[in-house]
Amino acid sequence: MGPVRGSKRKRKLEKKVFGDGESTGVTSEQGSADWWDDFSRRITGPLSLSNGLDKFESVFKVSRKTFNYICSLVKDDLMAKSSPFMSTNGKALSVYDQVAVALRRLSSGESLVNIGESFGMNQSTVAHVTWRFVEAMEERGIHHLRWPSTETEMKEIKSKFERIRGLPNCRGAIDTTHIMMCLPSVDPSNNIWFDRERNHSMILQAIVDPDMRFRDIVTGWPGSMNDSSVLRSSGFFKLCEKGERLNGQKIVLSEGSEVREYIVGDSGFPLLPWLITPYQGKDLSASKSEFNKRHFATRMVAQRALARLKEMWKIIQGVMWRPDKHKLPRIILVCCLLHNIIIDLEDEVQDEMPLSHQHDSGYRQQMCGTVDKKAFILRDKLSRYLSGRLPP
Amino acid sequence: MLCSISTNNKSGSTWLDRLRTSKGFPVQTDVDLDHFLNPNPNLPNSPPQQQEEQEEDIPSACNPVNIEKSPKSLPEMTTKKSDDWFEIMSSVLSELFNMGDASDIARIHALEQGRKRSFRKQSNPKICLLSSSGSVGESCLVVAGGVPALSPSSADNSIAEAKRSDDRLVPGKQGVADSAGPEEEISQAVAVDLDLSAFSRAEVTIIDTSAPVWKSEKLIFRKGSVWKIRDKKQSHTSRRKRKVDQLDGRPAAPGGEEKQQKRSPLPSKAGKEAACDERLISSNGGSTHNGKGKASKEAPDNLSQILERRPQFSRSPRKPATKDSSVFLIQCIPTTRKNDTSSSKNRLKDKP
Repeated sequence: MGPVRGSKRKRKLEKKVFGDGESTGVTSEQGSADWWDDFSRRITGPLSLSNGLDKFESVFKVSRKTFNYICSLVKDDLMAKSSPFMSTNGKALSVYDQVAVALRRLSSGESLVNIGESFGMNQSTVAHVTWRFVEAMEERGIHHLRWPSTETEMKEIKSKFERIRGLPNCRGAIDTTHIMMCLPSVDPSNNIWFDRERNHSMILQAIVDPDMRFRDIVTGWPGSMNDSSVLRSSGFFKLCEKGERLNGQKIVLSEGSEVREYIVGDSGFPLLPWLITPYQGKDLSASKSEFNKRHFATRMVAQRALARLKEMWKIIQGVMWRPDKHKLPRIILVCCLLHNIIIDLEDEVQDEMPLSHQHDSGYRQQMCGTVDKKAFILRDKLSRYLSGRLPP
Repeated sequence: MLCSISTNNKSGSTWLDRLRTSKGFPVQTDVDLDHFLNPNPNLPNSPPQQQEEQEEDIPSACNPVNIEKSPKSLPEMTTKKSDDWFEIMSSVLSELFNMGDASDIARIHALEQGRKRSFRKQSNPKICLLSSSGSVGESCLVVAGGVPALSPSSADNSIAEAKRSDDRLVPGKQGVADSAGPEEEISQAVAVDLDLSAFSRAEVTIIDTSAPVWKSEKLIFRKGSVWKIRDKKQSHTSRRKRKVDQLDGRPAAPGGEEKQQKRSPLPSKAGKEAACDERLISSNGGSTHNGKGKASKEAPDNLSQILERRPQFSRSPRKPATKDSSVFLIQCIPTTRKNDTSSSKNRLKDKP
């Protein structure tokens, strides 16, 4: 019987990959190095000819350290299956193999056929392995994406934001991007995904810390929804409105002038007491345009984070060919988790990434006219403070 | 309009008098006849005697409740010929399409089916008159738009209709209250436009890391800038997950249940729309909570609806409805599961 034989083989292989390192106390890095030697030889097709084949990072977009960490996260889930995934030559895929396939699929955005050919497996195996990885990651890696809870963490975030351009007590930067899809336009049910730039897209809204780490995301809404509506439908909005988030310590700018915690976002978002947007319109006063400059520089981290996300995990960068719209948000989430893991593990690959802020090319700036009175006062206060006009 | 003309020509003074009396109009004056008819242009156009005749036939022929209660009448009818065949078929049809309510889809489906059934009935004046045997208001509804009756005599259908309008009204009101800023437009429009069929509809999976359940399925209804969002019920995930595991041949791991609970559930497709809760984009978190409560409350109804439906389809027209009903109940469970499994299987096959 195939599966039984396969499982035996799998267990042997697993033993080889994990058993040695764990039992002898050798680090798993060494194990992965052995695995990589073998795996790199198995790669065929154009990928094997590429210049950076010897370079692990060029294939998977992560360092070996991060790769091993990811393997350790999903190991149990990937190996829990009794009938293992097989390569075309009948070998069972180890955890490393599976993680490699999934990371390659997510990072390169290449077709299933291409990846299958490169790694010597059926395209359906590539799809299954990737999906299993996504499922495992969203469960095991979700702790890498959370709103900061400890006082130390919050202080650090605020001080880092203040160091960018002086905005005090800022907790995050919010931005929205579109994940484009190619859907058949003859089907009227797809109209809901048709956005204002005439693309089919899914929205990803992210709140980012100064290290470009995603701290809160909302995704899955169709592209035809505007930024403001996505925000209003989010759990973050509800928590903030209830006073359960961004309710930390206020800071005193001058006597009788306090500033609460807030996040910054562009003009597509409403101006709220906890969400500061730039001044709109032309002919702004010097202090207001100065505020806008500082504001722009501060919220740039969100744009950069989204640009890097798409740059690094190319599966969500281009136009996806008829994706499953229920799976796509989960893939996006896992890409965000991987993005955060790279930051959390201080992976050096991020230093080699170009710092772009273009994540939504072709999309015009949305404008939201909603202004809250309190927020208006707060923004003026910040503007005066930043231009040094606030009385001490 | 058709009705008003024919009414003028056909109906005698007796009918008119009775109608007027029932409506509190003076019997003698006929000056304001048109004025009287205009607000209710779709009055029944059948002669009263015929109506009386057919009202006698109503219980045996057309009232599905009665048929279910007295299945003995069916074998008797089979002894007659084509006329009786029609009655059997109509009773079967009325059983088939009198299936309670739950989801919008199911209701729409039922209405569509009801329309078909009514069309068949229309060829037989007896049954047609049944529908106009109720109050004036009801019969207006029946003939409205020149469509041959929406079978309002079916108690279930009319209840479903009333319930639906309730469903729509409540969130509309909420929306107006909750609306702020740009959502004002959205909520107002929702309050005015109650017909969901005009909305384009999409099922989406939303990931929101700040929500209590960070992965949820929602139904979106959109018409222009008007958005309506409904939460979908989330109780079937663990079952689906287990099924997927079974497909893979993976044995239930120890602590697997725990794991599944930890995982925020992603509901399977089947029968989920029934228990969805409607809310607006601008509504607060409280509504989500309410929605869940409502969803869980509706779950048994949903199940029973599925259970009821299967036996009726699988039963031959000649068999009485009450026979072996429990067997059907057992049989239909794997059927639905099978569908469910295959759908999840298909989804698995999709490329990620």
